[in-house]
Amino acid sequence: MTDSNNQDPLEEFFQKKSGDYDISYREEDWKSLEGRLDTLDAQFAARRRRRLAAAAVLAIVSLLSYFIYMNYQEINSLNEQLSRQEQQEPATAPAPDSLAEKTAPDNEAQVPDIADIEELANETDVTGKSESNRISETASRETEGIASANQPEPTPPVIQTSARNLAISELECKDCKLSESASFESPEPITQQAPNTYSAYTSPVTAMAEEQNSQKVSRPGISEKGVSKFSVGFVLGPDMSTAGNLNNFYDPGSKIGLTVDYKINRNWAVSLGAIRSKVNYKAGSREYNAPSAYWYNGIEAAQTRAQCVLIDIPINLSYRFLQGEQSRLYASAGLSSYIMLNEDYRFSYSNEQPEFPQRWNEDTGTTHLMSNANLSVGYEYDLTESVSLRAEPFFRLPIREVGWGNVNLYSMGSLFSINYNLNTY
Amino acid sequence: MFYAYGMSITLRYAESRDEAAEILNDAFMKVFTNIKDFNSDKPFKPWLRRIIINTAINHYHKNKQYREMDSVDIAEESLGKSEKIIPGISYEEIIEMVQQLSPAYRTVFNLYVIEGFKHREIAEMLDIAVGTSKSNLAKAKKNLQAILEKNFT
Repeated sequence: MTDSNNQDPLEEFFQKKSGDYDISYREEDWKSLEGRLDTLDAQFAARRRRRLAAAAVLAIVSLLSYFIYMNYQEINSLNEQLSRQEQQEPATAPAPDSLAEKTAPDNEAQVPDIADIEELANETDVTGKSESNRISETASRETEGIASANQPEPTPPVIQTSARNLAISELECKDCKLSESASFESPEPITQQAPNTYSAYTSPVTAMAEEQNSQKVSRPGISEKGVSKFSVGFVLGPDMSTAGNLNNFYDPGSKIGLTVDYKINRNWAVSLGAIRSKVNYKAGSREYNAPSAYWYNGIEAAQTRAQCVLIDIPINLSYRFLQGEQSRLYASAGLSSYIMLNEDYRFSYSNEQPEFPQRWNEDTGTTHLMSNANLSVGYEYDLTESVSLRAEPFFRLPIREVGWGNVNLYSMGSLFSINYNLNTY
Repeated sequence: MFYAYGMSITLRYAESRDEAAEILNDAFMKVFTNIKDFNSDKPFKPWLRRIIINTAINHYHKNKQYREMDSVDIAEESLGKSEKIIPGISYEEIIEMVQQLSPAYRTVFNLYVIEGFKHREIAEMLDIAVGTSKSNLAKAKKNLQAILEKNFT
């Protein structure tokens, strides 16, 4: 950097004049800059929050998709087992009667090879003969000699146990607590003392049916015995708010709280909530109506940036319009009351003056009853009989003005919740 | 103390007082964060000046894509070197004239005429050819002469 460039009168003139500066400090330069930097920061923050919200939504959607996929796989697997069972069902039908009359082999009796049993089972389709009959006949033939040679003690028949299991699987009764009764009635000594005997005499069909039966009873969400009336939910989600019109969203807020649902019947439910909401919005002078005496010389702010914390108390009625086995879609409508906890407003003016108020912040605590109408649709997925996940996009329309600025507050967003059923009947 | 000095530099590189304040703010932030690198045996003002100029050049690069590089020349014909310059022009008027130049002309004019950089150095700083630097300087001077003639003669 040298000062020897200038050979030209113009250059000399400008160089000389540039040193004659007399610049006074102007506060409005920095206020204006502060406003621009705040806006820039808010934009960066909003972008970051949007990305986080998108990531959260993606994670929840992925989770729901995973559960739905797993459910679908399970249903497919059960259907396959069911169809296979139905193909072989004619063979197993007469089993209980015939088996009951048979004499069971002794626990210590030599049992037929599992390969023999499988071979017999395979032959069933060809001969059309009852598999259980074949098994019991084979068992009888195998044990006849042994039983007559040894003591004819009538021990609990292993074959009866397997036959009982087969009958349970065939009943297809969800409400009968079959798995419980089966395990209760099964004589424990038999299964404990002669596990090989049990497995040997349990045909593949019976084992498959037993497995299916146990799956059906233990599978979450399928049993209808535990329908809850009350459930509580922990809700969380983003909130986008705007004042006056719907094209001025700028910085996402958040919602976090609790809800209580009461199921009136299978389709209808009412819910009550208390949701702490951080609401950010931007309003022009037309949308923001603070007390007129507040403004300096009656000059209203050209733009107001609001950051409010409030309790949102929604009361909604929801209708389940699409019911799945483990999931459902529903629509809700209702009213929200707002309790303003803290209101923070920052003002900017078209022609900034030092006298103009720049900020208003107060813990107001004002209540605005039934100030907004709620509309939402939701998807609920049962994780277990007691726990479910919900995703519920919502839209809130103003009925009356809220806050110190008397704004018509529009909100939209999505509530994600985990719900727990309190009791059953 | 340094506010007026800083603003006297940034006003020449910026298009408006708002932009000048923004550049100065960024420059002061750099000063505060890099104050440990300052050698206290040397005078502070040249170090501050260099930081402010670098910050102004960074702004020029950042906003280059949003600006039209070549503005329409104001002067249709060049004035001769012997043209008399009117002495009664205030500093504010000088700044206004410089701010009327396009960013490319203004930056080269400031760097060459006021700061005293060579065209080779300017070309490196602005990532342009030496010829472009010379051309921009000539056009800047031509435009300034035209403005002077229009407003002060």
